[in-house]
Amino acid sequence: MGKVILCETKTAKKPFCFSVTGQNFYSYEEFCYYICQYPALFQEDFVTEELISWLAKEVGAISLAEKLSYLKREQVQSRSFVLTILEAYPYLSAKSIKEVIERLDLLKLKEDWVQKKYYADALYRAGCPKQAKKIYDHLVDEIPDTEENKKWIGAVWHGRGSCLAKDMQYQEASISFQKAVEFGGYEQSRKNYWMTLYFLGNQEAIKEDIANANLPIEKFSEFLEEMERKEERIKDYKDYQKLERAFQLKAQGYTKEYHKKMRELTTKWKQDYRDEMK
Amino acid sequence: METIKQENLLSMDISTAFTQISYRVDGMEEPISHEEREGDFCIPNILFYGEKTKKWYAGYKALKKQEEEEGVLVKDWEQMWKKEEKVVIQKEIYKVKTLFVKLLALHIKNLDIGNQFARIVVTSDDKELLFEEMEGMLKKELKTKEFLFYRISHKTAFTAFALHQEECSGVRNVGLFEYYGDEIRYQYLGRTPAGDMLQVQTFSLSEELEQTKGEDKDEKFATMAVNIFYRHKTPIVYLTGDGFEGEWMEKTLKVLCHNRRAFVGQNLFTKGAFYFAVEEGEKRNPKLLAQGLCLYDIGLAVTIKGQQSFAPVLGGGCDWYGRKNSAQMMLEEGKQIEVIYQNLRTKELEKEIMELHGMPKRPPMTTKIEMEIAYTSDCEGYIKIKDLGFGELYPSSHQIWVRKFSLDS
Repeated sequence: MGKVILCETKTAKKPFCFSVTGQNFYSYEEFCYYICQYPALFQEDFVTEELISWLAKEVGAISLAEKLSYLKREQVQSRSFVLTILEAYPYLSAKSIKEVIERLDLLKLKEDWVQKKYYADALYRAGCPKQAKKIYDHLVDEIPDTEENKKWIGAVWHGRGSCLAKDMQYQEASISFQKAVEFGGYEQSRKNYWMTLYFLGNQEAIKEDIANANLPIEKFSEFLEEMERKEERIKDYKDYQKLERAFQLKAQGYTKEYHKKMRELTTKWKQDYRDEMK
Repeated sequence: METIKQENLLSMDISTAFTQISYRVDGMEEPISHEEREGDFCIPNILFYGEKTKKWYAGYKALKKQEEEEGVLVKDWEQMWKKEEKVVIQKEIYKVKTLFVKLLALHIKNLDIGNQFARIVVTSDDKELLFEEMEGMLKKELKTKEFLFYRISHKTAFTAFALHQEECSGVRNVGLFEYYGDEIRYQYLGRTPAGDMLQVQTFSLSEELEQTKGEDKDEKFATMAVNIFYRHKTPIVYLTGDGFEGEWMEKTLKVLCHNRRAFVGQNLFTKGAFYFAVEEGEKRNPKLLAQGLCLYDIGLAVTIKGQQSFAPVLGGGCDWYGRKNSAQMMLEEGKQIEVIYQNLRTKELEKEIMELHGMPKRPPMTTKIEMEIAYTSDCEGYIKIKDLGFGELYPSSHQIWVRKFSLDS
C-alpha cells in the first residue's frame, strides 16, 4: 500500500504562472514538485508578490504567504525561500527536502558559468529549449578554453545541439553535436550528430564520420536499424494514429470527416507551437 | 462597551400534524417559542389555496380563509406522504414535498420576522419529513440562499436542549419522557462508558406501562417511573407530549420530583434545535451516540511526518442528514487506497481496500485525488474518488470511482 498524504491546502481556480518557464501551477504540491525537479531554476529570488498573493488567496496557504512576505522584506537568500516553501505543508519527506537544499547549496559553491550551465539544462528539461539555447550560446564563449574545461564545453555544445534539434534546426544542431564530440568526446553526442545527419538525409556524412573516428563500419548498419525501430515507435503516438485515421477516411471518401480530423490536428499543433514559443 | 451582534436564528420541530417554531431576530436577547394561541406552541399543518384571492394560506389563517372563500384545503399529510400523492391545484400538479415546504415557508412568513437568517435548523422524529430536497425548496420559497440549513433528529435536539439548561450543568445524566397518544418512551442522556462522548439510550415503555400493575394510569406510571429511575438514575427529568396533559398526575409527580427536578414542556425539541443552531452546527456540538445516528468516523490511513495515522474525512457521532465531506490527497504510488471505518463505540477499525482500476501511471507523488464521503442513511453511504491529476504537469484522467458502504448500526 502506497503512502497517502492529506492535502492541507486547496487546489487553485486560477493558476500561478512561473514566468521563467511559463509553467502554470494549480496547487502547492505542484509547485513543490517543480522545485524538486528543477532546483537550478530557483537559485535566484523567485518569490514575487504574485506568488505570495496566489498562495494566500488561491491556495489558502496563508501562514506560508506571511512567512514569505517576511523573508522577502528581510532579503534572504533563495535557499531560505525554497526551504520555507517545501517545509510548510506535508508533501515532501524530510529526506527529499534535504536533497534539494543540498543540491542548491552545492550549486552556489560552483563557478558562475557552471551555475548557468545547470540553469540552462534545467530550462531545457522543463521544456524551454529556446531560452536554454540563449544561455548555451553565451556559455560557449564564456567558459575558459582550458584542458580541464573541455568536458564542460562539450556538454554545453551538446545542450545547444539538443535545443536546436528540438526546434528541428537539424543543420545547426549537427554542427553543435559535432563540436560536442570534438570537445567532450561523448558517445551520446556522436549518436545525436548522426541522428541530425539522418534527418537531413545525409547518410554519406555519417559513414564519413565513422571512418574518421576509426569506428567499425557495422556501426552504420546498427545505427540505421536503430532509427528504423524508432520510426516504428512513432506509429504508437496518438497524433500519428490520428493522422493515419484521417488518411484512411479520405481514402474511403469521407472528405468532411477527413477535413475535420485534420483541422483538429492542426489546431492542436498550432497550440503546441504557441505554448512552445511562450 | 463593544456590543456583539446576535445572529438571526430559526428552528422548527415538524410533524405531519403540527409545526413548532423558535426564533431569535434582531434585538432579542432570548429566543422566542412562537405561540399561535396563548400556551399553544403547535401551529396546525394546514394549507389552503384560495381560488378567489389566488393566494396560499397556512395554519389557523388557512382554516379561517377556508370559511370565507372557495379553494383547496390540504391537511392529511400523513396519508398523502404514504401514497406519495400528487395534488392538483388550479390545473397545476404539486408533489406532496413541494406543498409541505410551501407550508413551512408560510409558517415562517406568517411570523413577520423577515427572511434573513444565519441558520435554520429543522428537527423531526419522522425521518421521512427531513428529506434532502427540503433545503433547496425552502430557500426557493423564502427567496434567499443566505442561511445555513441543518436537519436533525429529536435525539440531537434533546441533547442540545439539555446542554443549554442551567439546571443540567454539572449533571451526569438527564432523562426525558415522551408521551404521545399511547406511545411512551424514555430517553436517557449521559456519557459513554469510556466517558469521551455523549449517548442517548432510548427505551420504549408502552408495553411496560400496560403490564405494570396499578389501579389507574397515575399509579401505573408512578410504579413504572420508580423502576426506570432505579435502572437509569437521573437528577433531572423532562416530560413532553400530549400524554402528560390533564390533571391525572398525582402519585407520578411525587415519584418524578423525589430527589430530582422535573420539568414539563411542549416545546423542548424546537428549543433544542434552536440551541443546536446557536452552536453553529457541528463546530461545537459534541459527538453523540444514539440509535439512528452515524456510528462511524470514515477516512483513510495517511502519512504525517513519516508516521501512519488515521485521518477521518467524515466524522460520525451525529445525524446523517446531508452528511457529506470531501478531502484532497496525494498518492505516493499504487492504485489502491485503504478506507478505514472507525466504530465510535468500540473504537475498532474496519479496513477496506479500494482499487483504483484504470488510474494512469504517473511518477510518485504526482497523483492528486479527491475523496468524497457521504452518508445516505445512518449506516449506509458512498465513497467517491476523483482523479484530479497534477495540474498541467500530469493532467487528470477525469475518472471517478464509487463504492457504496453498509455498516453495522
